[in-house]
Amino acid sequence: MKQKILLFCLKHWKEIGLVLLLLVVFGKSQYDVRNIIKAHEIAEQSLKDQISTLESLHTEELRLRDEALEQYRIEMEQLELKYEARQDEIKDLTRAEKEVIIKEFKQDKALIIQRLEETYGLRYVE
Amino acid sequence: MLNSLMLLALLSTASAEDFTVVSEDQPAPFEGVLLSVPAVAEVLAQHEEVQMKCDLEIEYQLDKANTQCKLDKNILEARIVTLEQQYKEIIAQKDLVINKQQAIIKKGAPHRKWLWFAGGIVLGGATYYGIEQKTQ
Repeated sequence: MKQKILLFCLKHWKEIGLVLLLLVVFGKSQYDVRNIIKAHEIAEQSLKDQISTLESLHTEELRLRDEALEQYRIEMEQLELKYEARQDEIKDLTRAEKEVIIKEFKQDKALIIQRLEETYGLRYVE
Repeated sequence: MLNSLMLLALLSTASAEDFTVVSEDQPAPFEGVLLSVPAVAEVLAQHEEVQMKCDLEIEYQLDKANTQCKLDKNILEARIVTLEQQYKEIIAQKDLVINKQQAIIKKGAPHRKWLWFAGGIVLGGATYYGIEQKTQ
């Protein structure tokens, strides 16, 4: 039996060699393909990680942005309130000022003369 | 034209900026407009009110601009932080991919290919020689 196999191998050594060579080439190509797939998988995993990180970064940015907008809204609201309060205060001051002027006129006319001169630069005529 | 010039000259010499205080039934020293005390008080107080309102408006507009600027700054800072982290992450991932892929490529580096090639020639030659020896 062994003799027969040996004779067969010796007779068809080129064919056997060719088959072996094909097997080697096939094995090598499989190895290369596996490496390419591995490289692709690494790139894919990297991209997935990047997307995941970018998503979390984007969420964080949106949170910070919302915080800033909320702070802006609160500050603007406070400013509006302050502005309105100051306007009311000015109205009250004007009203009080008018009363003071009228009172001054009744007490001392010279004061209103002085005020008109100082405020509008008018010249008093006796 | 001459009439207009004369009118202008008259206006400039008229006592348009003069004022006086008159009591009831007292004749006025010049032709003009008589204002009641509350009206004068209104005029005087209005002057101060306008000034205060103007100051308030300036302050309000400045505060508004400041707040808007602060908002823009905060948003930009958030964007900068995100972009910096994004940049670091991308660079780290790229480095990782490059290192791993370089390791894969090194496995099939040229010097090993030459070894394989030489080994194949030697092995093939030896096999051929051996078989030839056996068949003779």
